[in-house]
Amino acid sequence: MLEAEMLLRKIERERQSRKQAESLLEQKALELYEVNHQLRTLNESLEQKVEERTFAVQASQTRLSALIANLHAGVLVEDEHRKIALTNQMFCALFKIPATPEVLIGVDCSQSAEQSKHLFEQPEYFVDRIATILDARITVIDEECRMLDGRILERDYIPIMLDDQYLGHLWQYRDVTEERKTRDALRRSEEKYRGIIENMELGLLEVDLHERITRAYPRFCEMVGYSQEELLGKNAVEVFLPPEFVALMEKQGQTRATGQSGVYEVLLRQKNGEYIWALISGTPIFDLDGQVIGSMGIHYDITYQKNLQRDLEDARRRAEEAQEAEKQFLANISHEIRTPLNGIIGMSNLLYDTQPTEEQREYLAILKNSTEILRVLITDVLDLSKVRSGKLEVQQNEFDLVGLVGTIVKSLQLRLEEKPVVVETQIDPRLQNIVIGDDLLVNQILFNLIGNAEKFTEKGRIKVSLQLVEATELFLAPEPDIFVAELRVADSGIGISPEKHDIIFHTFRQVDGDIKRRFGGTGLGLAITQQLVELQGGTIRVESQLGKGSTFIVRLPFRDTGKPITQEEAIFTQSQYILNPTGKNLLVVEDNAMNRKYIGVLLRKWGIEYQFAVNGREGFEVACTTPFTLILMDIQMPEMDGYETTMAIRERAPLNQNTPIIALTASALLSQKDRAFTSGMNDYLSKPFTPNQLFQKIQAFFQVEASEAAPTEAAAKNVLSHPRIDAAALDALYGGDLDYVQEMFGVFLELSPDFQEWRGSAARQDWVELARLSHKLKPTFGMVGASDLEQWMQDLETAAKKEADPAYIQAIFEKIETLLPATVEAVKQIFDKLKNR
Amino acid sequence: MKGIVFTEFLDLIEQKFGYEMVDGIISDSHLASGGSYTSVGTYAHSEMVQLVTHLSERSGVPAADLLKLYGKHLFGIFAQDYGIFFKDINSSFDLLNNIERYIHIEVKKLYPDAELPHFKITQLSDHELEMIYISARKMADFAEGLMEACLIYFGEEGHIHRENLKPDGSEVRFLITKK
Repeated sequence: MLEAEMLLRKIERERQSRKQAESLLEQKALELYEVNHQLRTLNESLEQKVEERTFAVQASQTRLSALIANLHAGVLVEDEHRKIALTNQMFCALFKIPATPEVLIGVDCSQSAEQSKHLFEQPEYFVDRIATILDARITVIDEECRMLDGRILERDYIPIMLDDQYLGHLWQYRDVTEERKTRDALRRSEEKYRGIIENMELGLLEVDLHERITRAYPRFCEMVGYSQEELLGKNAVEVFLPPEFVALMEKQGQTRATGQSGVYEVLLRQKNGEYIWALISGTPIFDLDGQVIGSMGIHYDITYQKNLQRDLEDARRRAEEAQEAEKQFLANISHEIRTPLNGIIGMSNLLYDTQPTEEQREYLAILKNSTEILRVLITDVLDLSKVRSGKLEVQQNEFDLVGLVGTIVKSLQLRLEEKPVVVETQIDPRLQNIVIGDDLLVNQILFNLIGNAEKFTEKGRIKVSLQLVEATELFLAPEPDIFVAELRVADSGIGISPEKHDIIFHTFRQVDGDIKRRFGGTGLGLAITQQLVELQGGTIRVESQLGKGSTFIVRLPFRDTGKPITQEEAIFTQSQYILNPTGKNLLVVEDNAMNRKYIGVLLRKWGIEYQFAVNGREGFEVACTTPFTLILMDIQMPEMDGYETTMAIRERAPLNQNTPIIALTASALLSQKDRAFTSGMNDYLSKPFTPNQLFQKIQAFFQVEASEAAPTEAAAKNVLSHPRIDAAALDALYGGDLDYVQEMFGVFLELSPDFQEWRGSAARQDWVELARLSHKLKPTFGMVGASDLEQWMQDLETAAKKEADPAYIQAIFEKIETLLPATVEAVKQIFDKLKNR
Repeated sequence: MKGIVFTEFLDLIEQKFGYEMVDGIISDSHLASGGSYTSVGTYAHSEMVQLVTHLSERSGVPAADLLKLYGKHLFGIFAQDYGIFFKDINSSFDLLNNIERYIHIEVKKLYPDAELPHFKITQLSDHELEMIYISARKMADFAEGLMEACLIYFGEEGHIHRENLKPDGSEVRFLITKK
C-alpha cells in the first residue's frame, strides 16, 4: 500500500517534470521562432547589402578597366607572383604581342623582359634594368627606352603596396616618339637661331626678374671676359654697369616688365676693368602662362663705332673751332688790313693835292688803281666769309623796291657820263606797293650786277628791268601776299660763251685769265651775288653769248604790304637832297682829333660849311639846336656811341629828324653796317676813306661842286729839316702845303697832355688800356713825321695786346720815353718856325 | 542551479539506495519545485542543500563526501554528453585551464541564467596547477570531486591539496600536483 502511494508520488513527480519540460520546450520554441525571424530579417538585409556592394565593385572595376583599356599608354599590372593581373590593348600594341589583353590575364611574366628585349636598342640593358627596378621596388618615372625601330618609350614603374604588404606592381609605357621629335625640332630651331645670333657677333644674356644671370652665351662671355660659370647667379647690374647707367637700366627693366622691348646704349665693365660700349636690345622672357619671368639682352659691341663717333665729333668740333678762328681772323684782319690800306689810299689821294709832276701823277694813278683793286678784293673776301659763316640774316624790312632800283640806276647814270653807254630802265607798272624783304641785300645784288655790266661794257647800253613774275609761271600755289619779282640786268658787253655760264658763279673763277688781266676783279662778285640771292630763296641765272652781251636774271620773292608807295617813302631819290648850295651845312661828330682835322681840311677845300662835335653827347646837343643838311657820324665814341646818338637825334631832335646821317665805321663787317641802318642812319663809309669816297657820299645827298684847290706855296723843305723828323715822310704826306703841316703840328702839341694817361696805364701795367692808347697815339706820330716812334708805338701796342713779358713791354715803353722829349721839342721848334714865317 | 544537477543527483540516489531513499529525502524537504525536476529547467540552490542534508541524515554519510562523490559521477556525465568541450584536449591541465576562458563562456551562451563559480587558475609549472575556487554556494567539495574525476579521465595520477582561504568555504585554494 505504502509502495503504491510512493509510486503514485513518483508518477506524479514524473508527470510534473514532463509538464515543466514541455512548458520549457514551448517557451524555447517560441524564442527560437522569434530568433529565427530576426535572423531571416538580418539575412535579407545582409543579402541586399552584399548585392549593392557587389554592384559597386563591378561598376568600379568596369570603369577602371575602361580607363586602362582606353589609356593612351601601355599598362601592365602584375601580382606579387608576377602573374598578369591587368593589361590593355595599347600595351599589346607597343610590344607587338599577338593576343588580346583578356587572354593575357594570369600569364606569368617572369620571362617577359627576356622575350621583348629584341625590340630595344640595348636589349641586355633593358633586361638588367627591369631586374634592378623589381629588386628595388621604388617608384620610377619617365625613364626613356629607345627601340630598334626608332620609337622612344617612356616607362613608369609603380609598386602596389597595402599596409606595407607588397601586392604587385604596375608598368606603364608611353610612346613619346612624336613628342620627342617635336621637342627636338623645337630645340634644333632654337639652337639654329641662337647660333645665327651668336655668329652675328651678338652676345646674349638671360637674367631673371632680379637681374640675376641665368644664362650667358659664349659670345657674350667673350665680350666681357668672364666665363659662364663665373657669371651664373650674379647680379648683372652689379657686375657690368658703371653707376651712371644704373638708373637707365632700372627704367628699362620697368618697361620690360610690362612686356615691351627696348634698345639702349650703355657702358659695360669687362673682367679686366676696361669698358666697352654695347647696344642692348632687351626683350622680356615669358613663361608658358604668359608671365614675364626675366629678360634677354642682346648685346652688340659698338665700342668701335662709339670711338669713331667720338673722333668724328672731335674732328667736327676742331673743324668748327678752326672755322670760328678763321672767321675771327678775318674779322680781325679786316681792321688790320684796312687801316694801313686806307692810310695808303688816303695819303695817295692827298698826294694829288701836292702839285705832283706829270710823271708822279702817272705813278699815283697806278698806286691808286692797285690799292683800289686790293680794297675791293678784301671787301669781297670779307663779305663772302660773312655769308658763308651764316652770320648774315635776311631782314624783313618794309621798303620801296622800285625806288631802290631807281636810285642805283641813277648813280650808274652819273658814273657813266663819260662813257658812250646808254642806261635804260623798265619798271613793271603793276609794282606800286611797299614790299617786305631785305633791301640791303637787294641793294648789294643789284650793285654787283650793275658793277659787272659797267665793267664789261665799253660802249652800247645797259638795261635794268624789274618785272612781276606770274605765279602760274612759277608752278607755285599762289599766295595772296607773296609775289616774285624778276630783276634783269642786260648789257651789250663782251658776253660769255655758254660753256662758261656755270663757272662764273664759282668762287675765284673768271671766264679766263685774259679777263682778269683786262678787267681786274677778284672773281668773287658773282659768287657772293649768287649766295645772297639764294639766301633770300631766290634764283640767279645768266643768258649770254660771246660777243653779244649778257643778261643776268634774278628772281626774288617779296611780301606785298598792300600799302602804296608815297612820295615820302622814296627817301633815296636824290632830288630831295639837292639843296640850295648856299644853305649847305654839315655836322661832323668825331672824337678823334686827327680825323676831325683830316675831314675838316677836305670839307674846307670843297667849300662846304661844317661844324664839329667831339663826342656823341655834344653831337646830339648841337643837333637839337641847329638844322643840318647832312651829318657824318663816327661809331665808336665815349659816352654815347654813334648808334645811340643817331637814335637820340631821330627820336628827340626835331630839327634833324629827317637829316641824312652817314656812318663812319671802323669795321668792314656788314653787321656794323646793318646796325647803322637799324639805328636810323642812311648810309655808311668805312674808315679810313679816300677824299673821293667821302666826296661821292656827300654828293649823293646834295649837289656840291669841288672848288679848285688853292695854289700851294713852294715847298720850304729847310723849315722841316730836323734830325728827329722824317722830312721825306712829311713831304709825301703834305706835299709843300706848309699851312697844313703847321695845323697838324699844332694839333700834335695840343694832344701832348694825353701822354700822361698813356704813362699811367703803363705804370699800372694795364695792358689793355696801354694797347688802346698806343693804338690811338700811333697815327699822331706818323702825322708829324716821327716815323721811328710810330713804329715803336706799333710794337708796344702789339706786345701789350699779346700781354707779352712785362720786361719786354717795359723796354719798349722806355725806348719811346727816351725818344719822346726830343721829338716833342723838334715838333715845337718846327711849329714855331712855321708860325713865324 | 541547472536541472541536470538535480536529475543526475536523484538518478544516482535511486541507483545506489532505491527510489524509497529518493522519495524519503524529497518528503523530508520543503521544496518549491515539489521534487519534480527536468534537466533543462533551473532550480534554487537551496533545494540541493536540503536534499544533500537529508540524504546525509538518512544514509549516515557526511554531506561533504556525498558532494565529492556526486562531483566524480557528474564529470562522467559531462564527458559523455558534452564531448564538444573535450575536443583537442589531451590532459587534465588543458581542460582545467579551459574552464574559465572557454567552458564557462560557452555555458553562459547556452544558459544565460546559469550561476557559475569563479576560478583563478595559475599554471605554476608543468606538473603544478593552482586553482582558487570562489563561490557563495560553498560547494568546493563538489568541485574537488570533479577535479579528481578529471585526473582519472585522462589516466593521470596526482594529488589534490585543499586549503580554505576563508573559514566559511566561499574561497578555497586547490593545488593539483601531477606525478
